[in-house]
Amino acid sequence: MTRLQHSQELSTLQSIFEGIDDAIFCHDLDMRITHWNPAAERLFGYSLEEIIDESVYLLIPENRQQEKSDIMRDIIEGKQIGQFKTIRRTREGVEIPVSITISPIKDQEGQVIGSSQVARSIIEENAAEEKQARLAAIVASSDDAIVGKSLQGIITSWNIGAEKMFGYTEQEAIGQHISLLIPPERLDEEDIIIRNIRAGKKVDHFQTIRRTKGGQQLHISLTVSPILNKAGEIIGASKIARNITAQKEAERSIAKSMERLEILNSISKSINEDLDLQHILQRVTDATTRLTGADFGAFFYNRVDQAGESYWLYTISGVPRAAFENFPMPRNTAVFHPTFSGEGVVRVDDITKDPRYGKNSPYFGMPEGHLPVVSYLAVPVITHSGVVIGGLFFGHQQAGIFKEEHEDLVVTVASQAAVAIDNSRLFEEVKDLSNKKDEFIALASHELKTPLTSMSGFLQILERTVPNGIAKSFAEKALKQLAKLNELVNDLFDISKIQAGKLQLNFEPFDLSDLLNEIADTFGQTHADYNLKMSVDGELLVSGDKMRLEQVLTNLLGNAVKYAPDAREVSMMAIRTGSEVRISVKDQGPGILPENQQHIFSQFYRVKEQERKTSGLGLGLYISKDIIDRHGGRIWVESPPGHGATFIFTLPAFTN
Amino acid sequence: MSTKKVFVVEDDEDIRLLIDYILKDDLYQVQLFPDVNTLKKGLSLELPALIVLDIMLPDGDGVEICRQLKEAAATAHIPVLLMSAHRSKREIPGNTHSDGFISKPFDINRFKAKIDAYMMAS
Repeated sequence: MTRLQHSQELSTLQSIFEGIDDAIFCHDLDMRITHWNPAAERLFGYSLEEIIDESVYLLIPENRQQEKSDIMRDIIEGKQIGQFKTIRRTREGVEIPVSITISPIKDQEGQVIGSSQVARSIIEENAAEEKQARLAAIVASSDDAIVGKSLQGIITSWNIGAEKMFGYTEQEAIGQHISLLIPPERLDEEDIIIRNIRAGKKVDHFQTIRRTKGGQQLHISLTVSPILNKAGEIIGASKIARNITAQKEAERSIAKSMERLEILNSISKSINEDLDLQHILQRVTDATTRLTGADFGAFFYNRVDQAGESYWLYTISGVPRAAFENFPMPRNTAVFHPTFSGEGVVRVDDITKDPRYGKNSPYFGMPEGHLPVVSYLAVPVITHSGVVIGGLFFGHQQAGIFKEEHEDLVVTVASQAAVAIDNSRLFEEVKDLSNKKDEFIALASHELKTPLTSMSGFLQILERTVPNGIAKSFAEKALKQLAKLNELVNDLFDISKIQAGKLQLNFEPFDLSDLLNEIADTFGQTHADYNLKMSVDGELLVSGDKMRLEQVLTNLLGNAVKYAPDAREVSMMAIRTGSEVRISVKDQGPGILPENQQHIFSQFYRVKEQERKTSGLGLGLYISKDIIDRHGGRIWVESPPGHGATFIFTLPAFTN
Repeated sequence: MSTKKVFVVEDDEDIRLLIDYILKDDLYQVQLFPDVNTLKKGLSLELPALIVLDIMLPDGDGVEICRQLKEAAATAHIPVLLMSAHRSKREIPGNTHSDGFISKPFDINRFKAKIDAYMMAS
């Protein structure tokens, strides 16, 4: 080598030494640093000036110094140590993982005089490795199946989770096509998944069904992501499958329970609100048929009529009523006996194979044309008092449909139904009694009128024939009392009709002011010692029942006299205000206390303070209110203390 | 004129007595019947100028009898006054087919005036 060549070689090495990204430094056998390139400065933080002649141990953490000594023995023997991974310390004291290649430096005689070191930080490499190790551990320990596959669908990796889930070992699975796991009817799903993967799209939480080695179908949630190589090309897919069969089942059973709860809830609510028997039975039948999943359900309800004969009511769900129309009612046969005697529930997977089945003449089984019944469930409906009032029957043409849970549900509904049926029976009884009471009152009032009529007639004849004197005045008084008695009987009769909803009103348009004047005339004749002040605002057309409105006004005027016996003045006013006619009757009596005002329109209510002083049944204002209400008007009382009482009612004004 | 008759059907004996008393001094004859059966016999013998008919009778319903009378050709022309404890004819459910109505108890003057009016018109 010429001198020039040597010099060129040196400068080349120098330039490499300074330009290289790896840290290069040398030390002599005294471990003193002799060379230090810029990359070393970047890696360790020491400048050339700072580090030259310093001990190389400056860069070595204490726990690694022994290792350095060991290495030095090899170096002195002329050995090279390649890519040795260790830890070095920077100027700031930070320990960094490095990969070092250490070579001996020899003199011309071949004697080792020092060592050169090429160091590279492997922080990133280390982190990547660690990450990979961690990922591998996760993949291995995951309960999810994690499977790698090529774009052609060939399985390339298979974790323990996959083995557990699908039953194939790693050896069995790798190299197989992924369709190994896909049920035949879902094979096209794979095409869609692969199409997405090729397009670089992730398939996220795709819920589907896959098949195990044992042929079992699993509900899984699938996430498939593309695998990229370093160049960013898609080379395969990793797929993570989670078994959601249990979750699916739980979801289904929750949904089912929810549905049942809803049905139970709605049925208990609706049948408790309902008092109509047929409605209750139909609802119960519909709901239980739904709950059991029966082809059809029927409710046979045993009633006893007034003559003591038992008969059947029934409701049907799931099939038209016509499907049962031509069959006789179920009888006390071996199959039906446990239900109608209240012995208990009958639930049979296949009734046609039951020993109780087919034993009775004339059909020996189901009558011809009967809907096919294989699964059979029958639940007696028993009241609180232990009376069997009927039974719920369900049928299905397949065997083994009705389970214990269905039985429980129907038993629950049956007990609720029994309560509702009892309530409805009570209601019907009460309604019946109430009707009888109304009939009785109607009859009684007619009967009372017969003696009233003859007494009234005879007294009128007496009153006209006897000469003026005490006898005549007694006859007059007796007639007045009879008139009162007659009004009381009328009130009783009205009440019975109001309650039966039979108080008939006959509407016709008429001038209310005419009626008021007529009433005022009559009042003047019968109450000569009273001053009736009238104020009627011209023509007041209303559409109403003249006789009933007269009854209201007579009642109000009668009260004004009755409850203010010391007063001698009553006023009656009628005006038209907007679309209403307003009529008021004002007395000069003690008035009505506020606490009594709200009750006086109630049936049988009588103001306590007045109870002993005045006669009456407490029906007049109640009847008046009913009459005014049914005219579309309002009635109320105003009674400021010390100013008497004013009863006011309104009627809609009549317009053509 | 003495041949003109009013038939009164009323089951209560005292009311029959009362009506008889009210009407007896008139120019027409009053014939009293306690029930539907006797009325029918009476009608088979002769026809009156007016029938006063109580509604609640022991052997029939006055409203129904009235309808039958109005439907039969022989009696359709005879005015019928129904009589009952109802306050007005409108309280009686359905069509009564009657010509007039008397509410019990009644004012004897008005009762007589009503009967007179029908008898004068006939």
